[in-house]
Amino acid sequence: MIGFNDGQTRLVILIGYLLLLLALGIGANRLYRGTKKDFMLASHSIGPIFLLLSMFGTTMTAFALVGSSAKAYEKGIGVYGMLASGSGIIHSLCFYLIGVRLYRFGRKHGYTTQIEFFRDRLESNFIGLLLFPILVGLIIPYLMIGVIGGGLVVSSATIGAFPQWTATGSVPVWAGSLAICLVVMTYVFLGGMRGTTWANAFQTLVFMGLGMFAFYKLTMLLGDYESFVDNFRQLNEQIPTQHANRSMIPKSIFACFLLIPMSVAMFPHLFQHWLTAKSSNTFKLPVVMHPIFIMLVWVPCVLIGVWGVTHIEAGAIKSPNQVLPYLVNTNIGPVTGGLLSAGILAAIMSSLDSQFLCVGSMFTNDIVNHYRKSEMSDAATVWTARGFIVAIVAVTYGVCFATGFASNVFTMAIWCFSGFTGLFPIVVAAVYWRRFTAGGALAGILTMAGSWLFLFRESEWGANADFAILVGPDKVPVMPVAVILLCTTVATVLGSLLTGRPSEKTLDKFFK
Amino acid sequence: MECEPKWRLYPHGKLDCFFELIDMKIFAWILVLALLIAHQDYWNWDSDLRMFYGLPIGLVYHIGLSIAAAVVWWIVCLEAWPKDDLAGDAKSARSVVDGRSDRGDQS
Repeated sequence: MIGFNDGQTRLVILIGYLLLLLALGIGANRLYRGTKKDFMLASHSIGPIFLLLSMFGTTMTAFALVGSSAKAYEKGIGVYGMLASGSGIIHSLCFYLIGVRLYRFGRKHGYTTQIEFFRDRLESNFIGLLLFPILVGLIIPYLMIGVIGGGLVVSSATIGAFPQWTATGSVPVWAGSLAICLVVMTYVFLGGMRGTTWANAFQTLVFMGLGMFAFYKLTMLLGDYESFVDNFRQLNEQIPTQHANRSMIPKSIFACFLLIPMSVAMFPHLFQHWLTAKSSNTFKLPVVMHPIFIMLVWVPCVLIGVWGVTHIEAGAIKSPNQVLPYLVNTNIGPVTGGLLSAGILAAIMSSLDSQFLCVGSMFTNDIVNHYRKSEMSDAATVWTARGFIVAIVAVTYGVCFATGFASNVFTMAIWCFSGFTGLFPIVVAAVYWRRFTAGGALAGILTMAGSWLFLFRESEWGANADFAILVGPDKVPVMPVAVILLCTTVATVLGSLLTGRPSEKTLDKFFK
Repeated sequence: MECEPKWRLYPHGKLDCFFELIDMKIFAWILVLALLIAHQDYWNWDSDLRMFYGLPIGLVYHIGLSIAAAVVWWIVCLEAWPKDDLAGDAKSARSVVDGRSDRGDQS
């Protein structure tokens, strides 16, 4: 771009993208109907295409673009089977088995948050109080992943932009994270769930489109031929043998990774997205297309990762997370590089917005409104939710700032998802098992929290990224998530069987 | 046994009736189970055989599995989608939007 160096060009593109998102939030605000249902659930007006795009954007984080290529660079093509094709099956299974049913309960009984449902289904206020800190506690690290990841993307995209200001000349991570937080907070604040859904849908299209564009450009630039097909074949044939098979991934770990996507069934922000649907039939398109969307995003990124093994000189990158940015920055011009960085930010922000809105909704509905003697007006409820959204953004940013924006994003995400997967038996039992009781839920939730904390401590609080439990005489490595899920399932079943049945009134309400 | 096949997979073939005569819900769930089992493809583990356009077999197999998953979920949506037990989504939506059922029936 005329007058700008490469870093500044990428920065201008990123600023333009963030301004577009703000415009989207303002546009959604013009359609805001002034009710709490509209702010938190978009008045159940979302159709199949928007639901597909918003749910997909919410479940995909920066890991889908940056982490996938990094892991493929390390472990080979098996990463696709380990993290992507399994998610395609399990996510749709959760949408179908849990999502549709919870949606129906939500519409029938007027729920906005997961906790409202559990409180009602289990006839217990205490379960709501217990779940609240656990869900918020599991979401905060998830938010931190996005905030830190966003700052890192802005910082690495703007290297050399201002050589007179910092050593690398880039925008500092804290400033990038702050900008991301402010933009997401603004469009969630203004547009509520409608703004979030619009932004999610738009950002999903952006990161899918730009990801494929970058893949095409890299294929043409890394190969020696004129045609895309010839270059594609050449680059695939150059993949080293050990990266073309799964010899670097233990079979038991590969199997355990099938449990991680079960976490979506307990994501509170996804629960809220489910309730935005127009009808239960709206879920059909997301259920069918989710595996295809995952494939469209992950296959190019995994291939870029394994091509990087041949095309990145030893020592050229400090961390596998730099594979995609390095290949883009060294092979493609700053405009495409800036667009790809915008795509990565899109993937990050499409998860962050739903989480901010969800935590604000939970505070307002499950704590403030539930324990007030008289219910607040819709306007007061929406302003309270907005206040909590600002507060949770401030707390998340503050924690990131206090920890120096340092984290192992992948390890943090796996521990976070393991906790949500640990709660999977609770939600399955709540929607399908008549005999499930508050006692069972209590036993399950406490067991999940206890086993999670114990194993997290054993992993030296996440410092040991490859932590696994060795089982049997052959010392087969098993991921903590498998142990947590097993313990929680047993505790939930035993706890339910040892306590009294739920009342007939409640059973009629949910199972008749 | 006579049947009116919904899907004309095989013109004039009896296989069309297969889909009419079996319990499609069970069939759909068998397919989902098959997907989960097929995901653990240990037989491809150490193979670096190259297939279409030089793609390794382990990747081609799982791309195929993603497409198969979409097809299976499509069959599930057609044949095993839960019957709508609400009086009507639209009616329910109106009552919720109007604020008549804004809170759960918390006792």
